[in-house]
Amino acid sequence: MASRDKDREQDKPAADLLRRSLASPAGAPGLDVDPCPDPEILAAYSEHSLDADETARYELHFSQCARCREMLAAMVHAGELAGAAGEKRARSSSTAWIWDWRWLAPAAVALVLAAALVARRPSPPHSAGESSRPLVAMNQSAAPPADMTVKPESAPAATAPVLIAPNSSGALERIAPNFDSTKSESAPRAKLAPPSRDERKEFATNVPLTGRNYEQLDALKKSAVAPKADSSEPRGYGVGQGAGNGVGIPSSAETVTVESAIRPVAPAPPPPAAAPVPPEIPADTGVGAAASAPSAAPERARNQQTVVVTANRGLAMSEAVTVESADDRNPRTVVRSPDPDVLWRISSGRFVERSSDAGATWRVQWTNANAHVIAGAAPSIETCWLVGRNGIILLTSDGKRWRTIAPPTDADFIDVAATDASSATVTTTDDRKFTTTDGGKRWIPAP
Amino acid sequence: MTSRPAQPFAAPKTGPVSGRAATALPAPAAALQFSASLAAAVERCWLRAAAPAEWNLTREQFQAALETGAARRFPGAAPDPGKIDAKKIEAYLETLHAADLALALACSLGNAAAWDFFMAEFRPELYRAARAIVGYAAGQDAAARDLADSLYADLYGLRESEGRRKSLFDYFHGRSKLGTWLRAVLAQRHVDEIRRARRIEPLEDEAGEVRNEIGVPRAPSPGHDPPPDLERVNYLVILQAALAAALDSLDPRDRLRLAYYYMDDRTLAEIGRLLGEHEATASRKLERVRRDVRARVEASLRDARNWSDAQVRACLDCASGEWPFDLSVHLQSAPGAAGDRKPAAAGSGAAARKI
Repeated sequence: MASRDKDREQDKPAADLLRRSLASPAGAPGLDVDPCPDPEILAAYSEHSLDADETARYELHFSQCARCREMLAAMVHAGELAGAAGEKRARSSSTAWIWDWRWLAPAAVALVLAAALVARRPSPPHSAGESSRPLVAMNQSAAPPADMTVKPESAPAATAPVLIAPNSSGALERIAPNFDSTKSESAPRAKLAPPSRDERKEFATNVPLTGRNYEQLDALKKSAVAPKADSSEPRGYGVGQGAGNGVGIPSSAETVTVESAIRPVAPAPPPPAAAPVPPEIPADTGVGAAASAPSAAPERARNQQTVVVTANRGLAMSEAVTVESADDRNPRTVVRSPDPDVLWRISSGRFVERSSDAGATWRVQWTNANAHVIAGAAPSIETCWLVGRNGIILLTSDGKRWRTIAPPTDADFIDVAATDASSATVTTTDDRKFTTTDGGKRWIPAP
Repeated sequence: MTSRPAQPFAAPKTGPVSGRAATALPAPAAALQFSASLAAAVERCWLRAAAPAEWNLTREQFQAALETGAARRFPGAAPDPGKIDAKKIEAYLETLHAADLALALACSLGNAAAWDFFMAEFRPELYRAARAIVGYAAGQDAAARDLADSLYADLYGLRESEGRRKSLFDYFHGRSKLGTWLRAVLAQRHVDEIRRARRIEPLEDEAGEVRNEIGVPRAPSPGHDPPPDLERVNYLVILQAALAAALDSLDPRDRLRLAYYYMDDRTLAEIGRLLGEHEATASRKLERVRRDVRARVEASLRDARNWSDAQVRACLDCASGEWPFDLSVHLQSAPGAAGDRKPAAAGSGAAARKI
């Protein structure tokens, strides 16, 4: 730098000559320098979103206008600092979730549902003994607590109660309406944590899910895999079932489901049981989960609940959106960025969630009122492409705000691959592919 | 000026103003009336905007804002939209940040829900940007706050003109992201403030300085007869004309590059950031531009004036013993030192002059 400053000193006369030339209006005589452009133009210029002739025109102006150049420099500086600060802030908020016990409620719901799915599953004809092992092994990481209870039981006998731990008998008579505490983590005997007190009455049929406990729904589908093999018989309600069945054969399938669902949950002390669930989610993507889960499970889930998603838009505006029941919903997808901490997931058609702490906490983001997102790709931590039905293509390049890209066709997209915010390839349901290299301004059919 | 309204929504408000009336303010040109062929493009924009129902934004208001923006983008077209290709307008519409435009429009119309959303979404960013722009020195936090607060007041539109609220949002047409626009507005205010303060201090007269330099006899360059002063001045005038022509024929971006370097004393790292290039690229391109300019100057002297190589050399030599375009050698040796200078210091030397 010192030597460069010296250079500037040494060639002062010539540099001054150059400066004078630079400062004089360019172009034909009589063509005055334009008035300074609006801040909006400066903003668009700094985003590189002006078209070529505008860029040339304003760069010519900037080259003759010290005021505009100073403004551009200040903007660049502000943008860099602001970006750095934002990133730092996002990183500092990890691990807070563990102190927030509210997740226990949805976790419990998830486990209940899992058991419900298991219980209602028709028994396949094969013998439980051999088929169970690979399935259990496969899901060890996904649902450790379920595993621990299942494992010892799975080999010896198919008649053994599937998820009932030795100390669970006391919990058997508990049925849904008796829930009274969400603090189940304090009770070693683990009364079932209800989803929420208000929604108790809907418990059997309508399970309210917030954006947050979607992950438990996934976990549930996964944990459903493990018991699947073992509960291969109708009497899979288990020996403990004696009490429940003795009380009276439930006439409604719904009730059976819930009752039988309670027991498996109860034995596991909630903190160890549920704690691993949220961090596990990113480990296996929604797609993977859907693929490995028994196909029966989602089908069953379909007629059991309407899902209500509540997302907070800003401070004062919250909006409840009822999405289609599960059969119409896609398997929820987790989109990974190169940074393992940064994930997106599609929580419903209109919303996505972003996590910057490997899935511990999620922030709901609004995408587009008409979006029905199916797949996504995140080439960087702030860039993510999403595609969906009816020609929906969404792009964020700051990790926060989504814009809708004009699609090459109105067909349904099922896949997207992207290398950055400007280059991406989308695939339609009939396997046509379109590629863009300019952020979606133009699409070219790809081979 | 520095007080943000504590209750922004308590200010008197007489129902939603019509979009056209509110957004027509900043544009002196009459709003462009979109032809029916643009209806599809407008519809796509409207869908992209996806304005929540609470913002009470109508499609008509939105289209009026689009038309105002288009009139600004294509100034010649206002009375007669037929003069501008509808395709151009359509392409323009496709590039707009429709959601941000809808937000700005709803805020400009005084919608409380939109304001809430704006405050929640942009307030932290705005303060950060203000701090970054103002706070080169420590202890500037109050100044940053003032800068951002003054913006709130104008965004909300405390100023009234002809009985109507004038909101700064009316100047946003969706051509950039709202956040970037806010940064640009902050930067503009800050720079203008600084320039106003600077104007009070006496500026050195650079032009006069240069003239003095030209008049002073310089040491003769070896191998050439020292040209008489008159001839030297003559040479310099010719050279300057050739130089101006060469600069005018440059790509605007390259001209901007030279301006950043020679007039604002920016470092290569800064120039790279300003032009969205890597520092090494900025360095390489700067060198190329200087070679280019020199080649053009020499060529124009040789061709237009029919000068011999010796005459061209003599002319260049008399401009300076150290012609700036040979600086590349020195530049290459010191790129690592670039980037550690504060941008605030730049522009204070030669550049504080606007033509």
